Amino acid sequence: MKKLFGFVLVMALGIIIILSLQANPEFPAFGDVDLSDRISIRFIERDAMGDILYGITENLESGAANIVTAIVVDHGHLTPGGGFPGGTMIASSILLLYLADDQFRSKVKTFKWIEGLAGSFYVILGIIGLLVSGYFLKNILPNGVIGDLLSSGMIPIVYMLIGLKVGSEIAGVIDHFLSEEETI
Amino acid sequence: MIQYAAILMMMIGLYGLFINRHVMKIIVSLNVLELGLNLFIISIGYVTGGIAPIMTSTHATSALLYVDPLPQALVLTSIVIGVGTTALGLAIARKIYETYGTLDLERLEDK
Amino acid sequence: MSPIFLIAIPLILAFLSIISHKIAPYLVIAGTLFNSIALWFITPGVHSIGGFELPIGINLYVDTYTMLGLAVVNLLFLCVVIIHIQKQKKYASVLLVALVGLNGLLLTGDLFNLFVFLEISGIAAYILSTSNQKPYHTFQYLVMGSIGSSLYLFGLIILYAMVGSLNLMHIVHLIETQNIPYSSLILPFLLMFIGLGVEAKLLPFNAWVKGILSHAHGFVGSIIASVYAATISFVFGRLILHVFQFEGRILLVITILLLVGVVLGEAMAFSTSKAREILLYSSIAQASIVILLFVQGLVIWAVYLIIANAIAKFVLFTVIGHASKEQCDELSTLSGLFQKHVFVGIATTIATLSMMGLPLFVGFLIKVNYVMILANQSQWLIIIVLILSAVVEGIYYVRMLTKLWFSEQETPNVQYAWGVQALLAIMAAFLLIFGIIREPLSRFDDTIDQITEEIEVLF
Repeated sequence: MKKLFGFVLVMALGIIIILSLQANPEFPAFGDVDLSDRISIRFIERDAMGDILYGITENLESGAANIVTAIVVDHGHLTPGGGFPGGTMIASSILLLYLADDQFRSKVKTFKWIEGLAGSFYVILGIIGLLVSGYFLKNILPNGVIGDLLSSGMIPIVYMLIGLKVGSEIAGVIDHFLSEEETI
Repeated sequence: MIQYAAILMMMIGLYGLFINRHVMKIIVSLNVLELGLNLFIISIGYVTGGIAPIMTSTHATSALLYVDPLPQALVLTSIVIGVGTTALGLAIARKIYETYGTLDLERLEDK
Repeated sequence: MSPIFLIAIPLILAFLSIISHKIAPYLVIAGTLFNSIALWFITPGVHSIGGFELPIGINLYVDTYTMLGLAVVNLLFLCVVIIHIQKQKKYASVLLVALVGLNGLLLTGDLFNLFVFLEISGIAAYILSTSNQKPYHTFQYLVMGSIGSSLYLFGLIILYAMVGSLNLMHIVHLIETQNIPYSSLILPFLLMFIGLGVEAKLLPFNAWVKGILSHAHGFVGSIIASVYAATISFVFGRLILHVFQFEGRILLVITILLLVGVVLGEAMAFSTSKAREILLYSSIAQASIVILLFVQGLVIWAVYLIIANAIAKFVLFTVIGHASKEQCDELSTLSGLFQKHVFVGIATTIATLSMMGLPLFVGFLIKVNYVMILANQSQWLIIIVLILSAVVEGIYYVRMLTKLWFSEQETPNVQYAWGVQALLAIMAAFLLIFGIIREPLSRFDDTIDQITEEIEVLF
């Protein structure tokens, strides 16, 4: 009885929301969005004029499989990916090693140091931007040739710090839980 | 059409939270709710006939029709927050099992 | 000094404090001391992050309303840390993350940034509430908090699709100039209101409050019921006054919902006999009164009520929470508590009488002023409900105080450190002094919120 009541209530709520969104003249239908109404148009129209140099990135995913994670973290400004998915890939590679072998224990004991220092460096980078030019996290390095590894300002550095932090944090948690029987 | 599917998924997640009494099923329903929400956010930014909002040497002008890039950034943050909350929920589920011996919330003695 | 330091420095200290557990408590004390001193030096106005111009990026906004909020929250957090850090060394990093989240909630001017800080401070609150050792109630708090944040994000995305911007001041400007009819804005505003109302203990969504606060000993009660409640009320005030601006039928619905919340909160507080439950139902009722005052437009008296409630509830939860650590908190077991601790008893009595609204304390001034302004607006239903609830509140607080002062059987065996007693005496002195000298209260009036002038200048 409670299940039927809950089901009817939830479906009624969903139908009310869908009908009110359809009857709303301001809410655009799917795909009919006019981007000049939104603030995203100022992102798109910003630097479209001639002082951007284009390069070519080649041989991106070649290499051994266990450095795919580092490549995803590092090329965040050129390919999809970046800090957070790359860090999760690093942590899941360590999880696979733990799952494959019962006696495996990670030889890296400094997960907490890497995590703490990487996080602090991110905020210190922002404060350096504040002291140099008056805005927190301002992009103070030059933009370079788009398509090279060392381009687009501070973004590769920030992605590497985030990838290190996320990877070491989740790997530290996995290490703590799966080797717990030795610390009791 | 995808917006209706996303709202339907959110409602299914809410139904699951309302009905279930097992801790793992509540956590899964919470994830379904957040999944539907993320799909809805993505569907807000679609422009019919638009291309990816990246400037390359073949698409070098800003007068072409681009898809909205802002909801994509919002969804990344929302997914990360969902992961953090799920991790915390699973740790608390383990604590519930250690304290009460069962994961079925209706059979808890001394709540 | 830029206000970003109030968020950045505790964040650096939080990252460094996970390296070593031994120095973590010292980093917490250093971080809260830095915040309490640095907040008097920040420059007011709009500060943007990353150098992007205003409607594009995230910006922080500081005016008198923000400064009052920052002062109350940071100083109360400093008091919590000083009292409790010696015994709760495990929670040092989480306290720093909570400090980052609370400051970010007060300072931000961008609605998606508000969602991120709401989740950060929410996760810190879930971890802090595990010190009660009741994992079922923490799980319930986690699920309800996540549903609330998801509903808030849903409403925000619908608003973005309609209006086109995420910045608070830009949204207010666009809603005026685009002449959007109010009936199409009801759905997103209602969803955002429900989403924030889960954390603010409003009526249909506060099932988590009874579980968390009725087993709270130690610092959970004073953090969640005074510091978090003050922050969320300040955030709610900012949004209700400028973005929501309820009118017409939805104003009627929201007012009735809040009045029902007040009545039910006071009724449940009257019918229970455990000390912590009395305090938590009274918190629920007071939160509904504060939001009701914001909805009716009385800015400055709602702000004073938030500050007075935060200080009084801090005193009450610290005293009762410490006393019920070893035994249960039925009033019959705690009776006669103050016969051995006279200072603590006087401080608690002052806090309770101020919450009831007796003359000579600051609660009386606030009650008289907002009743008079509501009578000018001819809101007779609201005045009748508020006066009835004040009477009921008086009855159960007096009953609690008489049980605590006069004992029937042997008095319980509780110790209070002298530092705690000194701190509580200072806070009670605040409530007494501002009740007698009423001049500083009239220095601010309804113009403490300067966003509308800022919007005219920028756009």
